[in-house]
Amino acid sequence: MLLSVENLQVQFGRLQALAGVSFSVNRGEVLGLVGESGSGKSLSAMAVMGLLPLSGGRVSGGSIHFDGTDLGSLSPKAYRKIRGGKVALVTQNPMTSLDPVVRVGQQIDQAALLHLPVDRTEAKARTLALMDRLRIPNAEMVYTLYPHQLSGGLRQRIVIAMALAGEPDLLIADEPTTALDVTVQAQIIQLLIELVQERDLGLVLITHDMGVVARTCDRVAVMYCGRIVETGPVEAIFASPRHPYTRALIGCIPRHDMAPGDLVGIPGVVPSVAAMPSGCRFHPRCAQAVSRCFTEVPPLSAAGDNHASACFLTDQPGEAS
Amino acid sequence: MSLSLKTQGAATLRLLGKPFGGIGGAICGAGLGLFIFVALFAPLLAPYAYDAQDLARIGLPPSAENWFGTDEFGRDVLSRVIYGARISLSVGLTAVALSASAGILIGALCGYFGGRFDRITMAAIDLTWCFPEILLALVLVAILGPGLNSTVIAIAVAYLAQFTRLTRTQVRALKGETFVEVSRCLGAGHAHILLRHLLPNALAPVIVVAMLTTGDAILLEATLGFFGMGAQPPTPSWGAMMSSGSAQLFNAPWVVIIPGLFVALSVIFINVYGDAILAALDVKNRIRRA
Amino acid sequence: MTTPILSVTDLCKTFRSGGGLWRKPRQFHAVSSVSFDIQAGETVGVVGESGCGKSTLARVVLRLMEPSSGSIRFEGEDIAALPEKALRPLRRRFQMVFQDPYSSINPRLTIREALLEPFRVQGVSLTTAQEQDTVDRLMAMVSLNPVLAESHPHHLSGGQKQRVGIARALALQPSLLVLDEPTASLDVSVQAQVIQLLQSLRGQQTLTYLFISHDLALVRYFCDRIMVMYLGRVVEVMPKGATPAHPYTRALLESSFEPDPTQRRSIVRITGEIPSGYDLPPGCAFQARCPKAQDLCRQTRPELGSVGTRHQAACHFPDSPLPDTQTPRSGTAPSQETPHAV
Repeated sequence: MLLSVENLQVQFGRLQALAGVSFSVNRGEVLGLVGESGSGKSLSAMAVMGLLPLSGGRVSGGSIHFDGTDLGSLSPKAYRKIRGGKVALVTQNPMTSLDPVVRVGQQIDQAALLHLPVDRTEAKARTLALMDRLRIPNAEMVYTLYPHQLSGGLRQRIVIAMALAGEPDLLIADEPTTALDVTVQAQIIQLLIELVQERDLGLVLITHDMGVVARTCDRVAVMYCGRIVETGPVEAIFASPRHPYTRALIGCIPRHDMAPGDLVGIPGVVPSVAAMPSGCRFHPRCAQAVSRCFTEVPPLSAAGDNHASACFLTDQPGEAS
Repeated sequence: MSLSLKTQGAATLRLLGKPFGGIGGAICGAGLGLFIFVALFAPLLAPYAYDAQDLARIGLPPSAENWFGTDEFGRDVLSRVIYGARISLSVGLTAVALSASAGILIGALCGYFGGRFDRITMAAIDLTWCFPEILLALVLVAILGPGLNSTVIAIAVAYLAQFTRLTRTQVRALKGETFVEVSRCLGAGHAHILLRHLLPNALAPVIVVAMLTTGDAILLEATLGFFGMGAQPPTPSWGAMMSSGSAQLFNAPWVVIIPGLFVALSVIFINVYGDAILAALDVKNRIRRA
Repeated sequence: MTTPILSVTDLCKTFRSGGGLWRKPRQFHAVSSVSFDIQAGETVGVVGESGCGKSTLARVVLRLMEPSSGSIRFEGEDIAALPEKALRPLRRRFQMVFQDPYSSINPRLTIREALLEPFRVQGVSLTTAQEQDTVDRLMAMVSLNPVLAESHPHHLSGGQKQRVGIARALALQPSLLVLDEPTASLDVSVQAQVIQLLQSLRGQQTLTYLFISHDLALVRYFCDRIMVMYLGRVVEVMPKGATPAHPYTRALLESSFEPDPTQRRSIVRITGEIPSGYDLPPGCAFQARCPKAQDLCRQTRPELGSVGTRHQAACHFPDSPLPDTQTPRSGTAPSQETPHAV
């Protein structure tokens, strides 16, 4: 396993934001981390990147192993080597993750200079090659531009180039296409998949869109309120989703064969960290909830090959809506 | 939801407590309150009439009868400082109120309607920024003739540009908010949009700046008084008292120092208290954006 | 056919920018010669990516922006040139729901006050009891807990705010509701809730929707008829369920991912991004990104032409289920196989 997160718990003060999250990614594999905003998917990414202290959180239990190393045991200095070098992050908003007063080419150079034993000339050559690979037209010219001179799609390509410049083994992409136009989103997603295959990367794709998951991921982990509620291979998740939340999320995406009224949302809202429901945290929004769901936390239990779901009703697989 | 409600409650408590919260803010708020109280009840509090001359007691240092001593005409400095508070505070407040009202009106219209009207008006307003406030006020008083009314007008004009600019910027930013477009879409006229949506949201920072400017305005009034351009004798204003006492600076320094001290104190009180309010309002803005 | 509720003819909106004393200002054609009719009770979708002019179109149609030319007939009356004062009382009949629910309610007002604003603005006086009834009715209509009426908007979630936006737009019982990306800033789960609400409202009262969105899949699900816009022009008009004929619509369809893993890692053919709307070259605006662009496309701009029943596309070489439309419709194009290569 390239990355394996075991029973990860994260706290902000006394509030528990992640209550035991486990997932793993192999090289050449795309893991989709799915859920609504507030489900804890970005927080999991922050924890892997070791960036929690920035927002006042801390890991209070569990472990994160990357390539055999326990990241929790690393010194801040050693962590910096991993972060951006071996594990790189692609963020949602390309405008705010680029420095507005530095030429984009130099920002990519910087990432390489920080993590690889290269000099400036070599860094620039690598940057240009990388930009070409990411299908950035006129790489030589774009190299000298500032972020505000680029379109949204080009900016996101630059951000990806920055992430790749340190030759990482693992890429964490946090809603990398949410801010982009649909046709551009499709191109960026395709690019990410190609890179995973070419460079044998592990990719954790964080998204709320089951459509994107279906198109890109090998395995899926569905998160709700700081817990994994279902995990499995993408085919199984879509063919026989076990958890009502997974079914609901799939039902939120319009399909061409839906009849009017088929698109149903999920009633209610994601509860806040301070007011987590007891038992199964999804029970207030779940149509199938039985009395047991109000008091007991359903464990993640096997529901097929590599397929597990945290629901007492897992025995009755539901139809994909 | 409940988390946000809880923080909401806490923030509201902080908002209420803030003006009195910081120890500096509390002291300054109390001091300012005392000054206003003294100004309001000057006739009851002053031991002597402000213009009662006693030629037998010229230039006496502070004593049991005259706590702050007497000036070059034998008038009680304490009584004159007490009455002076009326002039200084009321001129400062009136001038700022006038300036802020005019600035809000002009700024809101410029910001809302834009176009040529905005460009020409703002160019004229910006002209006043080319001169130091004191110079502008002096020139205006010189044109209008010395006296309390011209002082008020001069001070108001001197601070007009900052209020206009501030309101205009606020209104321009708010104009792009969706709720303004919603209101237009419902068929609302300009007056409704300006009065119901734009101004209520634009005023908070303007009020804070008005508060802080009052301190400057008192200082400016004192300066004008010192130059003999403000309240005319025998009306006591702190600035005029310092001016008339300056001839005797080395024989009777208290005549200059004591009104000067009160000018300084009132400016400090207003600024610290204004800062405390500013901080409190900032909290409120953050809640609104969250 | 009865009079359409909305009939737009040759509508244009041009923005000028830059320009100085000696330099000519540049023109940005946000909306170019757009014409369409909407029948009462119909739901028409306008789909396109950022910069295609769909939001500008919505605003011009509702006269929140002044049209540069063209006519807008609302229930038979031309409102394109009506002075703003004369337009105000008409505004109650056509309303809009805006994209950003977070800034669509004045933060100083309570939800109750926001819901009563339409009545205030339109000069409908209500007694206290009527006000209470109205607020209760509107909150119930969009399934909001009536307790929320006294809260300020920052206490509400995005979805709840958007429900308030919808209730406020429907307060005066308009016949046309323009929805400008009403779900774009919401979570998918909330988006589905809002769409469901809009669908049920359409069932309860006669409502005509003009639904603006960037999401072709959503528009195909929700709308009866779809207009696809690219760089200010309508490039395709098609009924629900039709196979797209314009290469751009095809690209949009390929780019909208359905929750179906059998489509996994299928190749997306579209490349490039939307060019700037300034100084457009002659010919088809899409030719730079089109996999099947030819010389003809670079020289002559295709007009909207019929490619099927109630189905029009502005393309020289439309894809179509009809077998005989692979040849150029107009002009003398070089005859050759339709290239499908990327």
